[in-house]
Amino acid sequence: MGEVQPGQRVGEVTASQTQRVDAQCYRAHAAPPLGSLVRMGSPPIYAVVMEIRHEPLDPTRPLAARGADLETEDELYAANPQLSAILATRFTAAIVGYRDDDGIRAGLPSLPPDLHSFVFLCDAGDVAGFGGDFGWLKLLLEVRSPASDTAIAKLLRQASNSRTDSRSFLVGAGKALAAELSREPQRMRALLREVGG
Amino acid sequence: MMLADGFSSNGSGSPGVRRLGQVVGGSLSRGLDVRLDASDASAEDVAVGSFVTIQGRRQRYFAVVTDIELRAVDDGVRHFPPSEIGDGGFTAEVISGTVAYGQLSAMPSMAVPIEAVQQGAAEQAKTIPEHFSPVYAASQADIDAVFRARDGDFALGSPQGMESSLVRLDLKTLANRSVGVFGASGTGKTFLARMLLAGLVKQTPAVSLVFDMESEYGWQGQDNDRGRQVKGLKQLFPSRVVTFTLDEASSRRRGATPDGVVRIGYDEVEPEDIEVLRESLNLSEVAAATSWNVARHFKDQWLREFIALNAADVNDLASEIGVNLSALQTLHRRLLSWERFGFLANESQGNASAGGIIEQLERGNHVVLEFGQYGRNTAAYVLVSNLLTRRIHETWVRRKELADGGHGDEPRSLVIFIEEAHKFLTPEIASQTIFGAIARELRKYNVTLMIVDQRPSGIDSEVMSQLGTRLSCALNDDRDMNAVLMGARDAGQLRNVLSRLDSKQQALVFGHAVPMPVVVRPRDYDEAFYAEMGAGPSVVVAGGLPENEAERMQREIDELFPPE
Repeated sequence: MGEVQPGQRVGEVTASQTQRVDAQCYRAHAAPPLGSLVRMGSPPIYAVVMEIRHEPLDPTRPLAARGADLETEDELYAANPQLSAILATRFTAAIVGYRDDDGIRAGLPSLPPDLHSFVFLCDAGDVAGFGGDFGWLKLLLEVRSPASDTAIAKLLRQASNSRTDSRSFLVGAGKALAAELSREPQRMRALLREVGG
Repeated sequence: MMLADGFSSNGSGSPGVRRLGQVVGGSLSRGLDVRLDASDASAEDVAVGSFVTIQGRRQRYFAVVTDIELRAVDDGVRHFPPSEIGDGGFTAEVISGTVAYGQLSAMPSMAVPIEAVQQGAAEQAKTIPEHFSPVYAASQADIDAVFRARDGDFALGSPQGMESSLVRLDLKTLANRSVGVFGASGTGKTFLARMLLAGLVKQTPAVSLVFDMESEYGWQGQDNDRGRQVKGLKQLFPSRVVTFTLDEASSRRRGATPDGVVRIGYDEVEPEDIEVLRESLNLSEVAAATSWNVARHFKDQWLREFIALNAADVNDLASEIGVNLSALQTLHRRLLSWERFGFLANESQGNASAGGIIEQLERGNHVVLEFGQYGRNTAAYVLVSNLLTRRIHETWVRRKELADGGHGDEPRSLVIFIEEAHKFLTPEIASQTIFGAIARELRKYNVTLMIVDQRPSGIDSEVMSQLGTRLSCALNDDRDMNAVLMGARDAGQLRNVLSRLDSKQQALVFGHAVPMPVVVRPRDYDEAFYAEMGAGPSVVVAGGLPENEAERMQREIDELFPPE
């Protein structure tokens, strides 16, 4: 069910604030991957997926297990067609930049994205636009959720894959991370291990 | 950005200028901390003792690298080196230059207002550059701005790592104060000293008197590393250098023709000469002091008569003049060996030797006294140099006082050159010897010292601190290094530089004759140097004299019609 393609519309903004947006995906389990770059609104605001949640649409109605007598998970969904209406996939993304007349800028826009803005998974061209300087890494490092550092590592590795100088890109990004995290050596080492590994 | 532009617009921003890092802290007294740039500069690229320039907002500073350090923001790097992480070296590559980085200590010595860089008006740095001022490896133009050519300057060699630049010494200033040349044996101090002497002859009105222990300054010297002979001062400046010898036979064997032979009458030796020789002769204080009693007893010819005594006579003498017998016996035994000193003459010489040397010096000639076989005898070396220097100094003092009183001309500046200086200038005897007096009285009487030594720690600290300019090749002993730096500004920082000198062909030069401390690779003492000194190429005549016709004529003209 899952895979979404670069450039594809994946969902809508359901809550937003200056640094982060919450979005709901159109289909359950069809989320942009952790660490992927998404854009929303016009002119676009860019954000990086830092956390993904699959959950019941209505938080007051917890899901119950339904497949005790079935052989496969596919049979379970086939036997319960209502599930697609009561399941939801939501994600949180950290804002890293926006586009203005001069092009893509790293940093926070003056207003967060509007509610119900459509959210698209970015393609390689957008990702490459975030190469240059690594000022936006600081915004991601401030998120500090359990998975945020993994998200950063995945983003950097993905960005490096689309470049010819992928190793030097990663080293440059690593140096920017090291400079930001000089007071948090444990975190830095763990993060660098993920970026380099 | 503006700073970098300013840097390149004023002359020395050639593509060769390499940025190393930026100033991140420090002080004028302790030196500046320069953090090396993460990407471009490795700690391996910068050698201690090399020059850097620092571009401040209003001034450009010239500094010497005195230490290099590997630092880390976080101590964890030491405990868990990133190389242990199995990521193909990624973490190590990221961390080096960021969390773990290189830092230089640089001592700012000279500064020049940015708008005056090209005029080269560098002066002692009394300020330090602002935080984050960029630091560059010094370019040739920077070196030239500090060590710029002036009249009377002498190209000593090139700064460390900059073979095409020249470090120049101000020889007039050099000769104004005493000079020390230090270095362990085999480090090249003799070459350095010979070069300085050649520079003095060539470029200053001062005259020098060289007590040439190993006979390597006058006619020719030995280059042991290359197994060849090099020209001495006499060959370079046949008309301005006069050689005397204590050992005529040795001089002739080496193909040199001395201009005079030095003889010293027994009557010229005084008890204070024996005091100076106490260490060389291994005499107790009492035994040395006994010489005063002996001299009082025998009067002028005391030494000759004392040596002539036999053992029984010595016993009688002890009781007659009331001195300790064993002390007198020791003194007699030690002095007996002086019978072998061929330069000691029975008949009175009436100071003829000192007179001959003084005459040459007054004419403006430089004098080299070769010791021949006696150079191996420390007692002979100390005795003769001390005795002659005392006489010459007396003359200079008299002339100077007359000149001060309006009678006659000032005596010429005289540089007295001695080797193994610690034999003359130990703390125990420095206060008594004429050399100690010369070092302390500065240039009051126009006499200064050039001392060459491999054991500066043996020299009285008061004398060391009076040295205007010091040149030190590598030293092995901590105490010697401390002694060389005694009383120097920034001694603590220079200590690091001094201890890292190559064992050959590198010298740290600091003091009056150079604008800032500098590590120099002395130039080669070869045909090019000879040519610059004005001597023609070597004319090698088997067993003969490499003096060419023009030189011979000039010498003869000078001898017949002494230049005034």
